[in-house]
Amino acid sequence: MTVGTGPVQAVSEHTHTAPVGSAPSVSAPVDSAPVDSAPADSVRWQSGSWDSAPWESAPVVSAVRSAAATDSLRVLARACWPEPADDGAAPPAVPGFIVSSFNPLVIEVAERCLRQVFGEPPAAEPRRAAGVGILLASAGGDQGTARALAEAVAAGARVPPLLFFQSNPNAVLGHVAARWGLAGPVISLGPAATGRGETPEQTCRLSLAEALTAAAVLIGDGDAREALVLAVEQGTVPGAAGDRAVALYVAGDG
Amino acid sequence: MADTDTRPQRGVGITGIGVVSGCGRGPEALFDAVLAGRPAFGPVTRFDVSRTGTGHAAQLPEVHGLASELVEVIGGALRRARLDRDAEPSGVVAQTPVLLAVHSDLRIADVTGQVAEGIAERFGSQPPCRVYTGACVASSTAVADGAAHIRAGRHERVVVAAGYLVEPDTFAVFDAGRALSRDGAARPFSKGRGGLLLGDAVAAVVLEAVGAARRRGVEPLARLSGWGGAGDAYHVCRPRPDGEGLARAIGMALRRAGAAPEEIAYVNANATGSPLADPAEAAALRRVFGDGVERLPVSSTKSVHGHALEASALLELIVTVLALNTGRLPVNAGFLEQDPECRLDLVLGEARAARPGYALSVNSAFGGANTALLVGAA
Repeated sequence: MTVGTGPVQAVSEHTHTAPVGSAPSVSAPVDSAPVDSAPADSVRWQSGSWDSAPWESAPVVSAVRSAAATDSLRVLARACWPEPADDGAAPPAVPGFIVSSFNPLVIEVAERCLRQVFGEPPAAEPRRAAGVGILLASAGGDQGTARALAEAVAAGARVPPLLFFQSNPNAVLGHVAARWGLAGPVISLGPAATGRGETPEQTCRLSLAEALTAAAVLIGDGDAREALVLAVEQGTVPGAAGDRAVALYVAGDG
Repeated sequence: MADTDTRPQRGVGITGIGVVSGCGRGPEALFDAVLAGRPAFGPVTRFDVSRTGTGHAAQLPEVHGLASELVEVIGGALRRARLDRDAEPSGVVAQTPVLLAVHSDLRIADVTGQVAEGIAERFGSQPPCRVYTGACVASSTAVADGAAHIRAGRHERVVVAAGYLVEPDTFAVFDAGRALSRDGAARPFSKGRGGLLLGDAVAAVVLEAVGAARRRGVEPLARLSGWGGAGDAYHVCRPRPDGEGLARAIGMALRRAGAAPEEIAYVNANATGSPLADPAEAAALRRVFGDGVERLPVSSTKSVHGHALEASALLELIVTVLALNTGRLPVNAGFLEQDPECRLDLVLGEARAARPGYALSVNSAFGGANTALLVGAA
């Protein structure tokens, strides 16, 4: 299969200048997912925190094209944090998750993406939802939680019990899975083969490509038919200023 | 088991294993301990545990850094697979991807970077191509992915490696979550169980297309006949009590192998000694095997080697391969008394002889992630 002839994606090859909407449009969205309502030009993105829509970057475009070609993967919805309208805000706090912006970021970006596909939670059809995997890639992982834990241990201070489950990235995926009823495989991935010194924005794009490639393997192998693919990187400054997160919802052709 | 695979090129074999654990260095030390039901737990000496509710874990007495241990163990697995440089000078190893499972913490980038440098230097291999951080199913997920790559023809062989060495931060946070046993023993499926104990493990396996291995003149140690993964969609950290997610993962592994439940001769269980999770796992096994579960030998070897977090599933896969190959089933140690919610045919007291069939290794993690790996005779 060659790009542009089948259920091939939707993601512009132009990295900085082409409006998202002018790329071949995202393939037939499930349940009328309003993917085209995503901000549609790079000027808007540059006025926000990303320098361009994250799914337009070279590693993501390449991963999507490869997945489309080898596994007939289609992108049905996409979302990110921050979007231009977020304007410096922090992701909404989530009860049960403390200390770090990592878990709220995962939940918020997943929510934005899944609402496009399913509307309100839970996902409508349990049979379909049983085939939806969730994959999260993060090179840095939950830096806020890891740092809080390391500092408490080094100081001989009491470790907050909530950090127990929060210390693993799978836990927040369990939150998303339970809220939306998504019962496919749950997979957390660490650093892709990145170099050092990338910005959270660059790293997030590489992580997204990594998770997307893993989702293609999972769907190609038959353990899931669709997947929520997430990439989350915290900024170096505590307080969420540099945080980046992206979500794609993808489906195989089966 | 007769070789009934009509697509020998795509059958997935296990051609190399390497392991160090709290039981000692090498597969033999591990398997001797689990067959004897001899727990490796002792007082933690590696760091101060005076502020925690327990002071026990399964530790190697002398341990190098995690990255260095990972490189050594990968080397051991490659040697057993006859893939070291002397045996395969043609760059085969250099083209073999490494899937690595390690804990997600502040050191992860350093550890993965050091492993990449170490294996490039020692074996001329590529850097780890993917890192798995999903707790107790991290390494079984990596195995499933590796198998999927081989089955799809993307690679002829993949190395899966995983490591966890008991260290202060995870010890403290598991203690804070009241997950650690307070009586110095892990008692999976037993009445009176009080939680898990952590243990060191660094492990590696070489997965290889059966046909490719045989073309090299190497007979696989075992076949990875099936694999599956499924979620609970239930809770952040609690397992679904009816075991439906884990049962689905097991069902996927059986279907992939074309195996019937009656053909399973042993289950290496995930059970950690957790009051909530052990009954959920027993419920999952009953969903799959029905009343037959009462005649299906089960043991959780975490009672001997401890819980090695991201490395646990790979450690337990190695135990499962050794059980299948030797026909001897490891002991579920630490058992006190039957829990009516965990009515299983546990291997208690001493090792048991296995009947012919497949062996299954199952794992579950936070987030409701479940995996199943099915091992068959080569």
